[in-house]
Amino acid sequence: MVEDKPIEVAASGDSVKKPSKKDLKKAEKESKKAEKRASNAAVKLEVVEDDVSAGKYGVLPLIRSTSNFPQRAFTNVKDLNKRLAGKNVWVRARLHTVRGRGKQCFVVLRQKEFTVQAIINVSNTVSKAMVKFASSISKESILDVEATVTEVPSAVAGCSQQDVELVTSQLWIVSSSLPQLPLLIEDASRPEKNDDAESLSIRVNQDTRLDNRILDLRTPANQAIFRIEAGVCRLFREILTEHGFTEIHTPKIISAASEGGANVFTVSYFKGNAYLAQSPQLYKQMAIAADFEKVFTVGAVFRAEDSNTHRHLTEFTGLDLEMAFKYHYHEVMLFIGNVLTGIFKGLRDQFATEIGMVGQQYGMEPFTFLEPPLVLKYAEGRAMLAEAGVEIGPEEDLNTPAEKLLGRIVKAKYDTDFYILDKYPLAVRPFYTMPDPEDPITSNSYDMFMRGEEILSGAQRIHDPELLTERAKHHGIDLSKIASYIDSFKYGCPPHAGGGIGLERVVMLYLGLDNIRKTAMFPRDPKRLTP
Amino acid sequence: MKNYRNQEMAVLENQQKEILQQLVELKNQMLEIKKTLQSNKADLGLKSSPKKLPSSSLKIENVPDLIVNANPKNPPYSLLCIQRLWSNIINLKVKTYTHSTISKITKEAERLSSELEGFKCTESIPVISLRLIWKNVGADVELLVRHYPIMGEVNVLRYLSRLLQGPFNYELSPKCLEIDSVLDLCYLLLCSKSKGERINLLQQLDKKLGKSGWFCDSSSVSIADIAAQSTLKNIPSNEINQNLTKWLQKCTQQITCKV
Repeated sequence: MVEDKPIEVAASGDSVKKPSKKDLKKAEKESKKAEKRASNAAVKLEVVEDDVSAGKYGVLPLIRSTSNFPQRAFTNVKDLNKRLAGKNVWVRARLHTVRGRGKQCFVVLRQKEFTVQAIINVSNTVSKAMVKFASSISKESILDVEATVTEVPSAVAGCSQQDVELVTSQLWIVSSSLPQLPLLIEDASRPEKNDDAESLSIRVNQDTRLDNRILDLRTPANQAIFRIEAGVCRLFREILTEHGFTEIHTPKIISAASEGGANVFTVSYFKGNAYLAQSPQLYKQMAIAADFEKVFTVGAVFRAEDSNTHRHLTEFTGLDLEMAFKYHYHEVMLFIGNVLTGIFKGLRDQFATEIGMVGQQYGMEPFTFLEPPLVLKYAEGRAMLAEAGVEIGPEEDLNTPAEKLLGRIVKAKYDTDFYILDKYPLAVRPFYTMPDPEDPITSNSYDMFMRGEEILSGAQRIHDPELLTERAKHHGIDLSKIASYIDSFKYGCPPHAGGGIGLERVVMLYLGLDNIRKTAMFPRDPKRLTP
Repeated sequence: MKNYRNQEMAVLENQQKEILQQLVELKNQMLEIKKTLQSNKADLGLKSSPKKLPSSSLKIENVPDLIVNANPKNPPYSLLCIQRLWSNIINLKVKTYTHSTISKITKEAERLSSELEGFKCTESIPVISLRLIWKNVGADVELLVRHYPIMGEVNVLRYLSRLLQGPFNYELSPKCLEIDSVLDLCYLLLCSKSKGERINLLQQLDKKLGKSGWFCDSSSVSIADIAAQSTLKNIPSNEINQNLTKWLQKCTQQITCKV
């Protein structure tokens, strides 16, 4: 019934001697047999014996929304505590772990990241058959449990609800799981760094996790990560809407490459070809030219870059904004800085539990920032690097190691993981970047960094068609290809600036995680198209 | 043989004389250069301020950017004193930030922030830029110049006074030891945990002030006054006696009239 696949776990550290394939198969067969026997026995017992618990346990028929269904109030696992002691409750949760011991069976029930211990004891209302049935349920099955909340004298170790346990009176399987799991939730939730030498060193490797993402996502850390990610998105929308921004939706199928030309995915479009948008920038700018003044967009962005790094995805969620200003692009730059600070503050204040849950598994340093954000000039950054012995030319871009180093220097000095680097050299920015009128070498552009990695690159855009044409020529860009872009500024356009962040990257860096695949629910990279 | 030695000595002596002569010339040349440089500096508008001290007494080139971490529960009021009282010598430009370890800053800290940031110095005098970060640090203020922090408000004051040299370096004053002991008392006051401890220290501080107008019998506000007024503002006002309260009012007046 299950495809023959050994449990994939990556043992870190001194790996135990692996059993041979043959042994594995044998063990598997035997366990299957045992299961079959157990389930058969359970069914038989139900039928044959005069069971005091008959009708109190079993497999529920498939829930298909029939018209007569029980009216039951369910209690969430996270709400089970001392105050409910003595009360009778219904709980729908997954079977996290199960341990049968003759006349009693210990079960840990899990709902999202919350766990509670339940016990099934043979008594005058609970039959031996029911205990046996409980012991035979496979892990990760979804159960309906009726139980009495009981206070425990000493805290239950390993459960989130430590002061109570459930004394079970009814037990029904709503949806059963296959007995063989490709990964164990317990293994997948084990802290990466554990000081306790006696704890197990079994970890689940990244690819196993991603291949079995629905199981992997059930771990507390993953539950937290994606709630935090939703939080970033919500805070971004809330803060911008509050400031009078309009959310727009830009096309993702476009006729020509938005920037440069390389790195775009080609898709067939009826008789011809089209491309997947690698940035909503042109459309944001057109919305500005169309008098929307302040716009933002949240949507998928595609990059056909064959880079297999910890921070590149071929499809990610872009949070982009563009904004008209009066006289100086700093109006926009500082605004974006404040929006990001607002998001960080929101996360700090509203998601402390989730951040703690991620910390428990991955153990990262908390994210620090300053309010208002720290702004450094590119030249200052170069000077700080030079002091540390890394020379970067005045018209040279920062390479990744230099960015990381600067991040560390800034952190040591100001204790902030977020800062803005202003006035980048003109030579390293795209053609539509407004040159600095006071210094021919620099431009009105800025990058923002989290934990020493660039998260946003923005600038004042040239809104004058003539200057834009001149700059495009200077960069050797084929004018015919960008004619429609230049045309959008021909009928007058307010000065504007903007920028965009990648949702997954921001969440990864905020949480101090080491891989962007941890913050993408179903990541896409050059080597992964499924699930 | 003796003659020969004498001759040798004479040659050596002559050589020495020549070298000394050259050194004197070199020194004169250097002085000349220094003079022209100073007059150039003066031409750059540094002379315009009437209260200006001779620029040679101020050496504030190569001052690194200063970063001060302070707990919003213990605002370093001495920064405000320095900014206002020394405003004819240096332009202390302050930018304040709130660190993520602080979710809400106190009213006192907020007021100090806006007073420090709002100060506009019009004179073209050397600028020292300082970033004040409200952070969850202890009662001690931290000053980061290079890689190691200078802990404690009075020690920050000591550092600044040395940095500015000239009349602000209290170490050149004959009352240096007296001032130092006032600074130490201030430090202990901020560290004190109990009321009894504080009362004892306040009595000692009161003795230092005595009946004179300023601390250490000074004719005007000194670094001791700056430290003491910031410290006293950070402890409960009902613990401060009349003499010190009167002095504190006078001190505050001195500063506000500079606004």
